[in-house]
Parts: sequence; structure tokens; C-alpha cells
Amino acid sequence: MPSQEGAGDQNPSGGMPAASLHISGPVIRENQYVRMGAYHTLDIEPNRDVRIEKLEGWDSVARSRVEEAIVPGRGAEVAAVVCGEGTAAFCLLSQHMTIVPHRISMSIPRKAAAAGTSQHEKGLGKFYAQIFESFLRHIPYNAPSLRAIVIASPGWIRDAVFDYLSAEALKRGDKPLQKALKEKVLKVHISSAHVHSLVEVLKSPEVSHQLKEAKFAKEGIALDRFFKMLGSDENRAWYGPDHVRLASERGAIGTLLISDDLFRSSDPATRKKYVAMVEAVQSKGGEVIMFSSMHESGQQLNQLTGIAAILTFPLDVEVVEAEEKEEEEERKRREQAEADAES
Amino acid sequence: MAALSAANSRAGTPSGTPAKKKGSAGGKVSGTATPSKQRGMDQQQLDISGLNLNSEPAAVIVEEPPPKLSFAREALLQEAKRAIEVSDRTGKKGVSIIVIGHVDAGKSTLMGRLLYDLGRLDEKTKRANERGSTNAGKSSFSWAWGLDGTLEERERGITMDIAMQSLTTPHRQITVLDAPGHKDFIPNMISGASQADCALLVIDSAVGEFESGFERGGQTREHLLLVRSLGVSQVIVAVNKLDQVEWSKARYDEIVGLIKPFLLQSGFHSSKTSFVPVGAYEGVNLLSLSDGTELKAWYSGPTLVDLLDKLEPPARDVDSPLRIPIANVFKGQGQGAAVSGRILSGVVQVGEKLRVLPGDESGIVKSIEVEEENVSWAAAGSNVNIQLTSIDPVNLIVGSVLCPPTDLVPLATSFVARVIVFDIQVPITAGSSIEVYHHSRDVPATTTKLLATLDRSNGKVIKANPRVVAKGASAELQLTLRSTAVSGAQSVVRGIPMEPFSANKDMGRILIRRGGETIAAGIVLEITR
Ligand SMILES: Nc1nc2c(ncn2[C@@H]2O[C@H](COP(=O)(O)OP(=O)(O)OP(=O)(O)O)[C@@H](O)[C@H]2O)c(=O)[nH]1
Ligand SMILES: [Mg+2]
Repeated sequence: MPSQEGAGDQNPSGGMPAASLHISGPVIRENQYVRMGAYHTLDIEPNRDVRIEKLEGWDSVARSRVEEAIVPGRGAEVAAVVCGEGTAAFCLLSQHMTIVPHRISMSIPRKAAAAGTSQHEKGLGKFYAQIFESFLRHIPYNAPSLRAIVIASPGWIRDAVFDYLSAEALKRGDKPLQKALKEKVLKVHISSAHVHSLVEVLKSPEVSHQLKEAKFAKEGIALDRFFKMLGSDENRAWYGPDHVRLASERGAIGTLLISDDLFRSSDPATRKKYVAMVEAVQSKGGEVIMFSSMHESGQQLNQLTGIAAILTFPLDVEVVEAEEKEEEEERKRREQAEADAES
Repeated sequence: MAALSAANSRAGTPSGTPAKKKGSAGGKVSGTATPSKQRGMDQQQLDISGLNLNSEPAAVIVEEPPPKLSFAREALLQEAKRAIEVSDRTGKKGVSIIVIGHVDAGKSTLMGRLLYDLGRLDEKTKRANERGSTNAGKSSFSWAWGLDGTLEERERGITMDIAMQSLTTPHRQITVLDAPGHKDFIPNMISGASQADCALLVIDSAVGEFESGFERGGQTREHLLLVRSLGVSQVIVAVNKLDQVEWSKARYDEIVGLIKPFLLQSGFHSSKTSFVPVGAYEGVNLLSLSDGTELKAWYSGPTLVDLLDKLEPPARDVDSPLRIPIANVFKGQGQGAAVSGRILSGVVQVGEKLRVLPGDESGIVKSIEVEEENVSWAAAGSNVNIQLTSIDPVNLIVGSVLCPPTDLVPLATSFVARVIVFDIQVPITAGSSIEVYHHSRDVPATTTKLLATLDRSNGKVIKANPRVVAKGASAELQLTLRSTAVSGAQSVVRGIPMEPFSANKDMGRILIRRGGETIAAGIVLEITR
């Protein structure tokens, strides 16, 4: 059945996304409820059984995605407040996605000789107060599934924010909040206050230690490893579909970093190509890390063409490409010769 | 360096449309300031030498839009130019300077002490700072408190944001921007550097301290490269804390010997760099060097003020359309809001209507302040505070640009830049997550395409569509601003105001950072979207 994903599958703003999927298409096998050729729409929702079959069966990648998805542990596991002076992004990370339910962007007068510093201090005070309100509203700090609350910033804003939250919780006698702050908060240094620093958060020792087995932490660490390898030995860090395919054909891939986006391609041939590559790497004992595009690390991998590999031994891209070209020409010559011989 | 020898002097900026003479002013000019004209150097050449790119085609002068100029604007330009000529003979040249250097080098202390010695910091404030810092258990920071004004800065003994002050020397009116040295506040340092003409680098000469500031990852090098990339070509190096090394000449010589080659390598011409030994805390060799001091035993060269007094303001672009990137927004007097920033080009007068980009808002200039004085107009090179009325302050954001409604700045979400890559460990790939810095704004972006690596000496393409761009390379990159949404619907990215370098040099410079490290600097060649 040709399927089509409808709109409204997830809702990025406000609380946990309500997932539902519309599938529509013509009926190709009739039964008592639907007629042959009629167009039909199905709604797939949580807690409703559904069976989806595929003529040639589901591939290994799709099956492992489903297995991953049914691991218990619903809801956000980590909350992160990424702050700068006047900016804050409230992020919730669950197994499969990161959402940013709320952002603050306030203009705080900078210190300046002309204006003195009182406007600056006043602005900061307002900013902290807003963070507190937003924190209450958007961070499910009491949820048992929430393992850590990260407050991340360059400079020392995270300390000021944490101190403000704690002082306010104490002042209001909010025991649960006090407890959550004490038990769950990790303060992490990041180099810039943009949301893409979440990758830095996840690979920081404080957090990665706590979340070693969490999938999104693994992704961030793998991406970091790729870039580090690129820095130390360019010939062992390849990216881009063509180059990675070449590396795979030579059995050189130690770790394959691949985005789930590539498996959403509407072209079945493309999907199959990647499934085959994943299986090839695994069969040679290589590790495959599937990145979720719903996380920052996945987004970054997507920008890097969606596919990258750390090789077990160095290979010079240009040499390999030259060899390929030669082989290709050789093959053509042979074909031509065969054709000539036949005629 | 071959590129640098081309940076010879010639008067004025390249000539403009025949209808109107392109004049170039030396000092900063404004209604009441005392401006002056000087023989400017060829900035175009200088900037490019900073990037080690010689292949830049000759400057394309932006044509002013069709002569729909009101008489008032013409008259103002005339006045600005006349003022420039007059002060050329009599007045003080205006110049702005950014104080840079590794954290704790003594930048704020040096400035605090200098302001006091020049009578700009009164006795009462000085006493109050001494008392306050002693009570806080930080008495060694009493001079720094003259500039470190926020509670947090004082508590930590660390400068976190730019402090602006002004001072006068016999022949100069100087705007001082005291930068933070700490790595995490480099965005603020960049914001300050983009408002300055010259730099004062402060070095801690204490054993081990100089070394850690100068090694890879220290801010001595990074700051120098940053200011050079932003067009600063003159630098004074103040070797500070010599009291910590018994005023040793050998130590001073050692430090000068290590910094000189790095300055050359970074594109500073040796005739535009100078060195001076100082003791900021004790005020040694700032204004004068008294007899009997240990330094006097081996040093008889210029004092810091002597060197400041010789800084040459670069040519000012008075004729191009007005451009003021907003560096700060605060509550001024009365309605509306006040903004501060540097006039990169053009002139501005009270009563004028200005557009704020990005966005659809405009405001009316109610008053202009330069060096703490109200003026009726101000021209390129001035660091101004402008009170705007008839505008909702929420529409004024740091990083936005003020310009005339008739001469808007283009908004870019994607552009091609020519860059020089710094000493980085991880090469740049297509699709790298980076941050683009432009004046007081920084935005997340992606290197969407690596277009080519170039030969640094002649600009010829070495390799088209390279796989990676490594340290030290010169390259052309396609950069695209990134949406800030992580998952779900991709939000639309808002463009930022910038111009190609060929249209307006100061609007066409960018810096690229990643993971808290500056990885490249460059110029905008073309805005593609
Ligand atoms: N012995 C000695 N100490 C000095 C001298 N100048 C500054 N210091 C000390 O160096 C420390 C740092 O001084 P600051 O002026 O805050 O340094 P800074 O470069 O402004 O630091 P940041 O702005 O935070 O990067 C203070 O304890 C000063 O007292 C000097 O000439 N001699
Ligand atoms: Mg300081």
C-alpha cells in the first residue's frame, strides 16, 4: 500500500508531543469492510494495536528501530536549560527526541559607562525571575523518569541561575523543588549559549558519566570521536555517501555513523542501499550507530551528509577514488573487448 | 611579508562618483568634537593583507542611490568635511582603542590607573573603590574596579563585558574599550573590537604567566588575530607587571622577542607596532618615568601616553550610507530607548529618521552623545549613544543595524565568504556546526559548502570542492544560518544585516568560531540568500 505521512505527527511545542500518524492510500486487497481501489485513511495512535506488513518483509534496520522503541522508559530523561546572558532554552531529551518547549530571549542592558550598571543588574534580576517561572512550567522536575536536570552556560550564569532557583525554592517552601534541585541538577560549562551546545553538554564528563547507556549520549560521543579522528588522522574519518560506500566496500569501517533520515528516503532503492551497508558493516564486526534526527547530534550528522565513518585503518580518499576510476575504466575496456569479441 | 609592504600611505579613500567628491576624514567628527583630517592609509590593502589575500579585485565603490538626497544631507556632509579640515590644523584627532590580552594581564588595572593619573577618575571614586575592594577581600583589584562595574565582575575579579571610557592625551581624544580576557567572554571582546581603530595589548610578564597566555589556547594570540581580522592594524604592546620580575631588562627583551615575530606573522606591520614596559599597579611609565625607579636604569624610551598620543586614526568613510550596528540598548532619558554603537560609515543628525534592521521598525533620532557630550550630528568613526523616539524599545536588539530608510542593509541567511583558517586541530568539513560573529551578534550557522581552497599568496584555486579545509588554509566557503529548532517543524531563519566587503568593509567582516575557539576569519564576498 503506498503510504503517505500526514501532518500533525508530532507537536514540537508544549509538553510531550502527542504522536499520531495518518496513513492513506488505495486498497489493493479487498475485504468485507473496504472495497478494492477505494481510498482509505488509517490513524495510527499510541495504545492501539496495528499490524503493518511488507511484501518483502521488514529489513533489519527497521526491526531494530522497533525494538529500540519498545524499551520502556517513556518521557523525558534529561532536562537541560541552556543559558546565556538574557537567553535560555529549555530542552527535554527523551530516548528518541529532543524538544525545546520554551525559550527566553530578553534584552539586558549591557554594562556601560554611560548607563552605569544598575540597569544591567536590574535586567539580570528580571531574567532570573523569568527563568524560575519557566522552569516551574516547562521542566517536569518531579517526574521519576527524569534523571538529570542540566543547567549549562558559558561564564558563570549557570551558578547564578542555580543559586536563584534554590533561593526561590527555599523562600517559597517548595520542598519537592528543593529536593529535585539538590538531587538532579548538574551544572555544565559550554562554550556558547546556543542550543547546538547540547552536544557539548552530552559529552561533558559530568553528564556522559551519568547517562552512559542513554542512546543520545552515545550519539554525541560518537560524533565527537569522529571529529577528533578527523583532526588526528584525516584518512581514518570519512563522510559523505560515496566515500563511505567506498570505505565499506573495502571493509574498512570500524564505526558507522548513520542518520535515521537516510532510511526515510521515499526511494526504496536508496533505503535498501543503506540497509545493505549497515548489514555489511555489522557482518564484519563493525559498530553501527543510528542517529536520531530528533536530537541535536542527529541534526549535526544530517548536515554532514547524514553518514560518516571511522575507519579501522587509514585510507587515502584520493588514492581510493583514483583506484576506483581505474577499475571502472578497466571494466569498461573489458566489456568493450568482450563485446568486440562477440560481434 | 610581501602583502604588507603594499600597505603604503595614500591620501583619502578611493574616489567615488564624479558628482560628489569622496572625502575621507581622519579623526572622528561630530558636531562639537574637534575633528581632523589625516593622510589615511589604504585600508583596502591593509585589510586584505590581514587575510593574506592579494587577489581581491580593486575596491568596488558602492554607488550612492540616485541623487534623491535632500539638501539637508548635502549640507551636513559639507559641514562634516569642513569640520574635518579645520581640526586638521588645530584640533585633537579622535581614535578608539580596544584593550586586549590574556585574562588577568592587568588590562583593567592599567586603564583604571591611567584614568586616575590623567584626572579622569576622581579621588572620591578611587577611595571608594579602595574601600570596597578591600572589604571584598580583593584589594589588588581596586584600580580594576574603575572599569569592572558589575557586582559579579567585582566579586570574581574578572572583567566580563566591555567597559567604555574616554580620555585625552595632548594630541588625541581617545575612546577606550576595556575588553574581558576570559575565554568565555570573547563574544563581548569581539563586540568591542569591532568598535575600535587600534589595540593596546597588555602582557603579564610574570614567570609562567606570560607563557600560559601566549601558548596555544591562551588569549594573547587569539585576541591579536581577532583584532587584526577585524581591520585593526596598529597595536601597542604594554609589557606589564615588570615589578614581578625585578624590572628585568632580560625578561622584557625576551617577551618582546617572542611577540614580535607573531605580530608580523599575524599581519601587523612592524612600523605599526610598538612596545612599552609598564607597571600598571604602581603607575610606572604610564605618563612619565620618574628618576630613581628601577626601570629608569635601562629604559628611556616613550611612555604609554607618548605612544597613545601617536596613534593614527584610519580613514573614515563619511560618504557611504549610514551604518551603525547596535552594541547596547538601554533606557535613556525620556521616551523610547537609547542605543550605543559605532558609526561605521556616513553621518547621522538629530531629527533624522532611522530604520532598524532586521524588522520593519523606524525611530527618530532625538539626541546624539559623543564622549559624554551632546552633539547635533556625528560622523563615521565616532562611538555614539543615540536616543531614539517613536519606536517600541522591544524592536531594538543588540546586533541590529541602524541605517537610513533610503539605504537599507541587505539581510543575509546564506553567503559566500573568503576566510583564513586559524591554527585548528579539527579541520572544517562541509556541514560543520559553527557560529558566525558579525559585530555584536553571533548566530549559529553551517558551512553548507566548501567551495575551494585557495593559494594564500595569489588567491588561485588549489582545489575545488575540497573534502576538508585544514589549519592555515585560505578558502571560500558557503555559510548558511541555522534554524534554532532541534526537532519538529523547522522554523524560518531570520536574516542578519550584512554587506559584501566590496560594498562596505566594516559591514563585510566575519569571524567563525566553533566550540569556544575562533577557527577562521574572513570577508563576505557575496550574499546568496
Ligand atoms: N604586581 C602587579 N600586579 C598587577 C599589576 N597590574 C595588575 N596587577 C594585578 O593583576 C590582577 C589582575 O588585574 P586586572 O586588571 O583585573 O586584569 P585584567 O587583564 O583586566 O583581567 P580580565 O579583565 O579579567 O581579563 C590584579 O590582582 C591586579 O592587581 C602590576 O603592574 N603589578
Ligand atoms: Mg579586566
